[in-house]
Amino acid sequence: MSYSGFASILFTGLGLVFFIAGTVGLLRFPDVYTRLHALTKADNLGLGMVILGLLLNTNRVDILLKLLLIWLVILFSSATCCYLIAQTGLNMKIKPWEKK
Amino acid sequence: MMRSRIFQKGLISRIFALALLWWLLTGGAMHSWIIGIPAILLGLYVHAYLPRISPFRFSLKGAFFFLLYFLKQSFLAGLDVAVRAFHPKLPLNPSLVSYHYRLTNELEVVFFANTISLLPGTLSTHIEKGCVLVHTLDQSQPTYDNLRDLENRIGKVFGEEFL
Repeated sequence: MSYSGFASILFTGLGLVFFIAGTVGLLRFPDVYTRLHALTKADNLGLGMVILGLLLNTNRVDILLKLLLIWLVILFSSATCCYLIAQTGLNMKIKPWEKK
Repeated sequence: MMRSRIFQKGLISRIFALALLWWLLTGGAMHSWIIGIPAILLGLYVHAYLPRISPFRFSLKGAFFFLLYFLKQSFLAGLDVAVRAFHPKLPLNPSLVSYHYRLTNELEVVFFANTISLLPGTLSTHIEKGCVLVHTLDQSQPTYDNLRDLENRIGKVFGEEFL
């Protein structure tokens, strides 16, 4: 296997670990706000690594640009959705969980 | 009759940008332009009626350094929250912090709020009266200093200097 093929599998695999971490956080964290932390940040890093892994796997410029575009659009939409959900939580008077 | 807003300044570059987007999404398949050209026209129409944003400056150098900072912080943020999620004791100590920002352009503020959510341990929840309400995962972190640093960096991207 080529080095770039190996690096591609490594980054994509690491990315999946972070996606799993995001889901574990979603299940384990105590309230809507902390769960949003887990989803936005872990998935953002997971996505970044999957994209990086896929970038290493291509030598076509159009696919490279397309992957970067996907990364950018998901970053914007995840941050915006996160803000909207958190704001709705506050509007519904959901109190943030506090450590006892 | 009012002249259509579609024909305002920069029409050619907008057409070019949308065509480039379509070409990227479809891989340049010739027959896909049957859908692509109406989609571009629709895009031009929607763009014309979106709310206007006030003009802003943009620094390429600032943007480059911001990108490096953003990539590093994204990595730390993902790692931080992954460790907390897998940790048996679930180390969380959340709080809400109100931060008074100095950025003036609405585009900068939206950019600021979105970036806050992707950085380690902070999440923007609400913007009101010059303040952004930030939810933090860990009270022991220097959240105020981190937000101040982020705001300064965003200021540099859009050519604003704060004292």
